[in-house]
Amino acid sequence: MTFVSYQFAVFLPVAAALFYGCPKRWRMGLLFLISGLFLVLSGGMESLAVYGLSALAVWAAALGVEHFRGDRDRISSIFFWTAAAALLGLLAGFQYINFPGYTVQEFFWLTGRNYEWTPVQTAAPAAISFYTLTLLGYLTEVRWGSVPAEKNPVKLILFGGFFPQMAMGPIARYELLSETLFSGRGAGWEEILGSFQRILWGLFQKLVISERLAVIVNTVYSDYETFSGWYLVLAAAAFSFQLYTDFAGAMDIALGTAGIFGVRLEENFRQPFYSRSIAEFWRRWHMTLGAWFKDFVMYPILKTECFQRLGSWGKRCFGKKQGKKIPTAAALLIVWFLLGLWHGGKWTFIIGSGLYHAVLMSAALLTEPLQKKFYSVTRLNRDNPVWAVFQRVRTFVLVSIGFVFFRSDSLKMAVDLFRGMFSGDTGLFTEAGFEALGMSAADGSVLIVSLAVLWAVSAWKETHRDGDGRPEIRGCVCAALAFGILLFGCYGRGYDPSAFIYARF
Amino acid sequence: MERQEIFQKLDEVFQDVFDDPNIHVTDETTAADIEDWDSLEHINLIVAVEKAFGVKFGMGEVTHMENVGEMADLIAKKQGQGR
Repeated sequence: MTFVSYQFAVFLPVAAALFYGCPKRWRMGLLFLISGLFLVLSGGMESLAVYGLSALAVWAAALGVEHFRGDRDRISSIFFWTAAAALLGLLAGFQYINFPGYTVQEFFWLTGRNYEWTPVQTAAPAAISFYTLTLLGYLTEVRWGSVPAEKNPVKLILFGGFFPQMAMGPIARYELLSETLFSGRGAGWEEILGSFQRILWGLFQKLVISERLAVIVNTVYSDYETFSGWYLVLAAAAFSFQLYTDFAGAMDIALGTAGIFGVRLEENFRQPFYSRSIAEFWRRWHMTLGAWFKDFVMYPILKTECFQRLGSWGKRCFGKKQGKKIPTAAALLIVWFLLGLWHGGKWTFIIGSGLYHAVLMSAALLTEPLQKKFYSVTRLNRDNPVWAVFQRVRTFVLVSIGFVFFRSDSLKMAVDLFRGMFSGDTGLFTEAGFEALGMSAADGSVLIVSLAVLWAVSAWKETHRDGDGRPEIRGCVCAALAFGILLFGCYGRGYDPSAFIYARF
Repeated sequence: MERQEIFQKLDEVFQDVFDDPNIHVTDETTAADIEDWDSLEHINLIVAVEKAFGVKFGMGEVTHMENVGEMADLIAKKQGQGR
């Protein structure tokens, strides 16, 4: 069961009715049962068993970590590392079993030989990549003494497995989520209406925009050796918007669903295509993942003795200002390698959602003096609107290049796609050329209008960060969105839209 | 060390790390108030503060520090414990 299935359209109102129909003190227990049922319906009993045992193990380990912290810190450390290794081992067993094979395949390709790895088929438990980070973050915070260990196992299992957030995030922090998750206070009418509007907006992004863009992307990428020139450029740009509307749409549904139960989840996106640099893009795109890696990987790495020494060496060799950037750039490479790997055991992810971004950010960091000189020589105002638009387009192009790797099955395919962009027939701008994208003129028009709506909403959000507007406007927006979804939504064969892209991680 | 002395010394550290002699920090100063204080510079600042005051911050403290006031409180607490 996904957020865009008909089962969910029944599941959510029934769950909400049960929630508000029962006394406050039972509501947390009810959410626990509802979340368990959601997991079984989404990933089967195996997923429930793997998650339940993982969360229970973390609950017990965290109590041990806290109990022995301080005087008997060694035992606390053993509890922590045993549980962390078990969590990561389980993730590796399910998600990275093919990684060595794919690595050999890419190595052979790089050295001019031919070898294709036949992947071992594994059925990974639903949402394992997401809840591994959620639980590991909690365990680490208990180890650091930032949050107290949760005594109640039901609360901890619900924290990692709360159904709106479990499958695709946002990656929760215990301190923030526990405040509204366990209170059972519910939401007021105004909040419920706002949440409902958010769900509709998420559905609109997924069903009207993302599913339509998927037609272009799938048509071109499934036959990428035939298509060339502008087709491949268009498919790359379309995939960036597809991924955004797919994932940000899912987040709007997740936050809206949680909001109906009065639970506040963290924002995961903030108009990422408004970013003027790659570093800013990562502060606006999949924000909870970036924050997780910053707090639990980047900072601890930078604080190690080894990186401190690297900083001292850098300062001696390159001066104080530039030298201190050396350990930061090195840490960026490690962190983004892991961030790419988290998406899956393939080099297309490690590069497209990892190392490529680290290289761009490190380059921006190390060339800061040159950039300052550029601004002072040209006397260019950084806030010049034309310059800002140029920087946004540039960031979008750079990000889309990364997403070509991300979308490709192998590095060879990515390189072929880039080569193809600069060769062959570019007959896209003819009637027959447009039809080859697999889309009718009517669908094309709907896509253009809906992308304009997306742009207008993003522009509005960018300038109005404080609120969602008046209730009567909200009502009109809900009606318009519902109408748009019903009329223009792509429901696929058998009225079953394809799954969310991030649901497979 | 008195709180006022802590802030005087913090001013020196901040001025040195961010290369700006005009920086003066208060209880309410946050990363949003200092242009170059981003997530990449945060650890450089933390390490410089640790060296200047002879204290060590835990990772939980590093990630949860809300403003300079909290930083000063932690320094005072840690120096008090060290005595």
